[in-house]
Amino acid sequence: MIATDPEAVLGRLRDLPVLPQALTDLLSALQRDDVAMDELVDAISHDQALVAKALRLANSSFYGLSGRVSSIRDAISVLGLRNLSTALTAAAVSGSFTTPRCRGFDLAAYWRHSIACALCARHLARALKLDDGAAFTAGLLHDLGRLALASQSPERLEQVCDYRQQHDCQMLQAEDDVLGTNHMAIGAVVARRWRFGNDVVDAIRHHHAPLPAAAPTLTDLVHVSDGLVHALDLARLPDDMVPPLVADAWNRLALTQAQCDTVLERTEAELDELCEALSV
Amino acid sequence: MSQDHPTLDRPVETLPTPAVPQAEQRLMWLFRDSLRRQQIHPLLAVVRRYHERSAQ
Repeated sequence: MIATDPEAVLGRLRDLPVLPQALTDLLSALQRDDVAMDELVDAISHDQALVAKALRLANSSFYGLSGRVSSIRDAISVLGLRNLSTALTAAAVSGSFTTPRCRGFDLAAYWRHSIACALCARHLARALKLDDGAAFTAGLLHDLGRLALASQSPERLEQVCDYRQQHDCQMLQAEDDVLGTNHMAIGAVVARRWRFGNDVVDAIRHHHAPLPAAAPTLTDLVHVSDGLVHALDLARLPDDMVPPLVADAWNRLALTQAQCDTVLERTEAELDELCEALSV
Repeated sequence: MSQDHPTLDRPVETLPTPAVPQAEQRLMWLFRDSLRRQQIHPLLAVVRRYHERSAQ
């Protein structure tokens, strides 16, 4: 099949949901050194729905701060700007798309898998002394293309799901065969439009096929996390399937069994808590 | 017919198979794509050891 432009599959890009301005301001500010705290607090505080969700998350047992955070200013001082931005990202993205009605697409399973991947990537990053905030965000958004497809082109995703069921193949294979593109390319388009950093966009674009590298990359973390959480059966999908592993990416992380055990244990322990805090 | 190679009195398909724990069956199902391709998937061993350790 000839490769298809992911934007053509998604339809009109202007119909894509937009992330709250407060979040995009915060994410842009985090790229700079001269962040004006008051300005940020004001910007975030204007979006009360986002603030409410973020504070609920900040006060959840996931962050271990039950009842201590009552304002965005508190959240910044207690959680730190970077942790707050991951909380706001999770809150904003989980509420950004209308609930898709698409045969074969299980929204609850989608979020359980994405949140599990975010947690796993975060713990792997900590074990390897890499950026755990970026790992969490990239893990959370890695299958964003599938959510966008379910929301914007449900009939095309239904064709993909039917094909996958008939052939019992990898979802990625079904997407390539039916659409001529896949959720990695589509997700990268959406993430770029949402102005996430290049490292996050690249991790989304290549998470099933990490590129050669001299040292572990964010894409490697998401690639391995995705495989691990599929293997742990955390989405609880009857026909789930573990995707292939790229040996170079796995070898670059050089994880021991003891490190994997710790990461998997923590991921399982925190998953229900975070799903509940995000209301997904 | 040699005593070392006795004939079966019923088709192989009807012979009882060793019991495989349900969790192991599920693991095999999740990794079915790699198993069909006869590819070694490093995460199969990692997750199997994790389950074994968790069960102790």
